[in-house]
Amino acid sequence: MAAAKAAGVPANPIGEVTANGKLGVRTARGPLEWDVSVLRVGWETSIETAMKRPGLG
Amino acid sequence: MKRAGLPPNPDPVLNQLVTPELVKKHGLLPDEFEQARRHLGRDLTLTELGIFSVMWSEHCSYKNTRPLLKGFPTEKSGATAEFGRVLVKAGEENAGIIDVGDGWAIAFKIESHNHPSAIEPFEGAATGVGGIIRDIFTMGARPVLLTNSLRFGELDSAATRRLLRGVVAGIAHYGNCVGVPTVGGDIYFDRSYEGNPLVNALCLGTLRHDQIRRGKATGLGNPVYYVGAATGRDGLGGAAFASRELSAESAADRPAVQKGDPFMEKLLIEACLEMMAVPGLVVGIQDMGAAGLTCSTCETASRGGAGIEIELDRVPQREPGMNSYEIMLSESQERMLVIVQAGREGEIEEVFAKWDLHASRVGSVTDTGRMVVRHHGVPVADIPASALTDGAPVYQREARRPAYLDESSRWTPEGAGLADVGIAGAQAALPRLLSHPTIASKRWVYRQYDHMVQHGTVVLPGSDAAVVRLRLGPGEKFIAISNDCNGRYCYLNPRRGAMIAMVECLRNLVCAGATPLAMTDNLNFGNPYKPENFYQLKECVAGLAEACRFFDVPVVGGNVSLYNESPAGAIDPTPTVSVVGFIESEAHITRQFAGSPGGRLILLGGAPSEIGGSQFLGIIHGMKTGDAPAVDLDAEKALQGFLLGQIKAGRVGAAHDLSEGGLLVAVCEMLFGPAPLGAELDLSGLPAPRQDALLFGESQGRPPTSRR
Repeated sequence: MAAAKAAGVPANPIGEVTANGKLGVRTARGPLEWDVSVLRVGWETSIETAMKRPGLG
Repeated sequence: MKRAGLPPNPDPVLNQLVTPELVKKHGLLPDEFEQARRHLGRDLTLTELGIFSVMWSEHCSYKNTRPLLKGFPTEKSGATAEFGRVLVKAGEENAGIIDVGDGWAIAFKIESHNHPSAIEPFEGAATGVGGIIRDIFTMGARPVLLTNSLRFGELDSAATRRLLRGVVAGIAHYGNCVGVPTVGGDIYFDRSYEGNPLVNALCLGTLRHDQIRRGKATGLGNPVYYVGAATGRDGLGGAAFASRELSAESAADRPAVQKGDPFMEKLLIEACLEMMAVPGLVVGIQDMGAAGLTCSTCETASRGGAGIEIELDRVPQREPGMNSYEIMLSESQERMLVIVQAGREGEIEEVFAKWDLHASRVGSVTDTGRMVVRHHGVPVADIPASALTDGAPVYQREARRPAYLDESSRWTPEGAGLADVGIAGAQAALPRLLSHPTIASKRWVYRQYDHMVQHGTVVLPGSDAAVVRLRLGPGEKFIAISNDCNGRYCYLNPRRGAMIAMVECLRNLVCAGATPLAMTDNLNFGNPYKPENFYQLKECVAGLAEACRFFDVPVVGGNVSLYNESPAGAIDPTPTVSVVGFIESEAHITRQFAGSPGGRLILLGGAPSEIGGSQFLGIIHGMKTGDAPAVDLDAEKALQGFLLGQIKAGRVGAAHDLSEGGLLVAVCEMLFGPAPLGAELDLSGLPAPRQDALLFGESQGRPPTSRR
């Protein structure tokens, strides 16, 4: 953080990596939480799922 | 003006009068045709009309873009005698070359195959890969990696799925079979590319400085050889086809799409590199790519300030009865033109016989400055070589700022009455963003590519940049490569969008631990005769040039692809940028994946605060509007310098660029590594005029990092 300040680069600590498989976010409007493995499935399989539908020809 | 001064063509079909209709069908304007006639001092034969039409097409002549491209920096001011010099500049040859130290260099270039891929996705994409590989080994370099940059319509369309399936299969087929790893790329899905996909392929090769070869025909009497595959009727007039808009009738242009043979290309690579390794044997060499035999003969002659005479009967042909028009305009693949030192013909013939490839002496270098083509002993074309190259017309097209920019640049979420995202909305938005194909994992795509062949790939596809180990003689070096361009930003603010493409590409390299070295670009735009399209092109080029100069990253080559329009309209302007970076030490290689629990996450650059042009607006609200995110080049340089310094000092465990989808998407992508991880974030203290901008906005220069 000090090095960033010295370089004139804004730097904000925003959290920590955990082992619990959850993404938790505290915001000014309230807390958010997701199961990382669920997010990952949607992210990882979206194109594959779409491509299982028939294309022309 | 005299009638055609050449004797009748041996094929009577080619002796028909060149009418205004034929001229129009060949894509030449009446003024251009008159200019061609003035170059010859007589009427053109049909074969000559075909030759002028392909050489003066946008694809070969850059007639609408040459003045713009002069604004790109082509030298690296920070280069030293030992590292970073541009050895072959943009526009000089088939690919640019830059020094990477210790007598070694890299050649790299990106090129488009958009139109062929729209009609025949498999063959179009496959031959795009084959063509760019030839551009690299014709420079004397051994190809060591491929990347690609693809754009499609949305995947809810069956036609788009057909295109994606075919293009990816074509890239995989050619790259995997030829034995060059496809190590990375980028893909976007957006309605503007519906019916006009973009398929840009990049190849990079390595060579020693003394192995650099040029596409020049010099030395009176030196023999001209045709090597590689035989000529067929495939790809006829492909360059001219690529220089007009796609329409409902474009399917009839299937003969303009080439057929590739990667196994033939592999033989050609090995034969050419073996031939070029023989001291003094090769005087000049050029790929027969766009415009085939026509382009390779007149360009080598023009560069060498010489002439070339060829006899088409000596051209290996795989179909009977081909006439001079067909042979000269064929874009059959896996063919090269080689100018050999006179008296050493046996040596080249021996090399190609060993590899079971054609090597046919088709002509010789002359001192006339003319490209003379004979068929069955009769001259069928006689044209000053320079008329086809430097003599091509050059235009300053009219540029007009599109009217939609007034509205989109004034747009604000408050002005539009767009409510900020609440907790429930944010909870629902993140999975939707992550599963949109533009943001989602491209695993389905890159798993079809062999990204490990040659055993040099260190950072695999799926990270910010690919990292490859180059084995150079007894030593080794590491390079990183990344592609970028958010066409949505370029649509909303062409100049700034292009700058973002560049700075984001540089940021990706820095996140991987690399110092950016040089750039190649592929300018994909609509029809330049439409002033609004030309405005987008002009502004994007200006933005790229400014960013390149600011970061001292020279442009060493590239490609222009215009007329990217379907009946629905022009694509979003897409100036694709590919930058190569140099990694000083293996220890500096950094990935985007947070390694282990306990790592502290630090957001550099400040809190995201903009929502304009974001995927959040597009995917959640169905809007493509607002201004592109702001770019502060000074702040970006400070950020990148700081991050690279921290990486080199061993203080960064992971770094990832914040881009499409914003901060939460970026953090998720850091967690989607080999080990199952979570994260606990506290964003409540960050300044945020809007929660949607903080969580999902795409403000530039905000990479989240984790401490080692």
